[in-house]
Amino acid sequence: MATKKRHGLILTLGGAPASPHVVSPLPGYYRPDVPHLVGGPEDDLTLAEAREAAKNHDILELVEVTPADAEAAEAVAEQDLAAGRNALADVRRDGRAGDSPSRAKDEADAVKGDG
Amino acid sequence: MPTGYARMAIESQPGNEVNTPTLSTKKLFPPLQSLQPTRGESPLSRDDELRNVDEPLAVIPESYSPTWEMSVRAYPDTMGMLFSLILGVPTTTAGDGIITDLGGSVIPTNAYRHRFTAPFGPSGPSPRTAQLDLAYADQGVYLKAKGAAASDLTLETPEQGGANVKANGPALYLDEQSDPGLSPSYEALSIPPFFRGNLTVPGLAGGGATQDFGLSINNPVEALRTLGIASLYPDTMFKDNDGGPIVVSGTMPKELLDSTDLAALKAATGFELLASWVSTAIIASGYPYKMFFKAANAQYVEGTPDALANKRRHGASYSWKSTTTSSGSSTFEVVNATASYA
Repeated sequence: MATKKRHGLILTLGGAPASPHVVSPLPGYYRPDVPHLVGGPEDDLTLAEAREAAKNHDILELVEVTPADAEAAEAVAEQDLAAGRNALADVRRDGRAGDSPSRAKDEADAVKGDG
Repeated sequence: MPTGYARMAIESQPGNEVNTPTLSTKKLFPPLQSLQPTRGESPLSRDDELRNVDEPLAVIPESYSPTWEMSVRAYPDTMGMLFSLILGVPTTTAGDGIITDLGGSVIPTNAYRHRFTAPFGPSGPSPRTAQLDLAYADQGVYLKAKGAAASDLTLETPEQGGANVKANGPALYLDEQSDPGLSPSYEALSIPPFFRGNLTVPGLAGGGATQDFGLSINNPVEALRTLGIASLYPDTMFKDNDGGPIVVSGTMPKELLDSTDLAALKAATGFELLASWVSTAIIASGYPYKMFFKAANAQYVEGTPDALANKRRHGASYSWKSTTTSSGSSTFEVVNATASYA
């Protein structure tokens, strides 16, 4: 039985570090090294929306993802989302959210409305 | 939604009003606290002309002298970019489980060591410069700065608010542009800036307990009008002829007055200074983001004990400068997840 093809969005921002990035107003995190899986953990994007996102954001590219890579990408996404929620709580505590409210809101949106 | 952004890229040569330098592959949207662009309009006033008019005459555009000033927290990727602007191209080495950082720890795969060693700056007459694309998105105003050099960078690590960097300098061009259509992207908040709890600075052996550590880089540059092009802007960014080399200096106030420090100030005794910022966030294999500054031969150049007063203890204030008798006075190092600043 053929495995269903999966897609993901790769961050193509030049020289971006291999770490999670926020691309407002899209959900989740985006990396240059691991694709953000369409329909991955907590991801609401449809393939059509992902195509649109790649068209609208010059720093994203839609790629096909092999099943093996998809599994690894899911693990990374879960890790990034958990770290993101913890960090959001930290910046609200230490005041960084206060001096950059739009960025904190973008991040809250990225981790699914934890705002 | 973001209300604005700035994108920074290093230029292949200082950009001015008419040229189009190649930009570095590395682009950064710094998580700004602020970025102040100033075009520096200096219109021609003709009020000194005898025209039998007893009112100010209309001014006309004559020259622009752009400057920029940025305030941002010391995030690992941002520091690599700012250092590569003011200090020059780093020597980047990928972690391989063998190479070590300035603290002596082995750097694993997927972490990258960016080392900046004095003498700093590119060879030739010009400093490194950057292009800055600024978007006041809500207002629909977009600016572009070209030929932006960093003449000063200061790094403070206060007890609250995270390590803070301020950088500023002149630029060769700053004007409005049409919407560049860029999508900003920021490293997740899970990559924190360096902060006070990350910092250790063993100072002069036997000296008083350190209260604080401030660092400043001065890169003397000047924006000149060399008549190469017809422009109201300067056209060339040069290293300042009278400014001397790039100097790293700073302050190191002491909680306790100690005769060892006073004697070192009097005798201009050199000592090794190693400031280490070790983040709480991990890059790979348990290895955290790090930043180092090492002065092979720091010297106190100014200082005074606190005024004698009715206090339970007295401290002292010192300024230091990184100097050398041969080469390699100062080394900066950032270890992060960025593969290259080229």
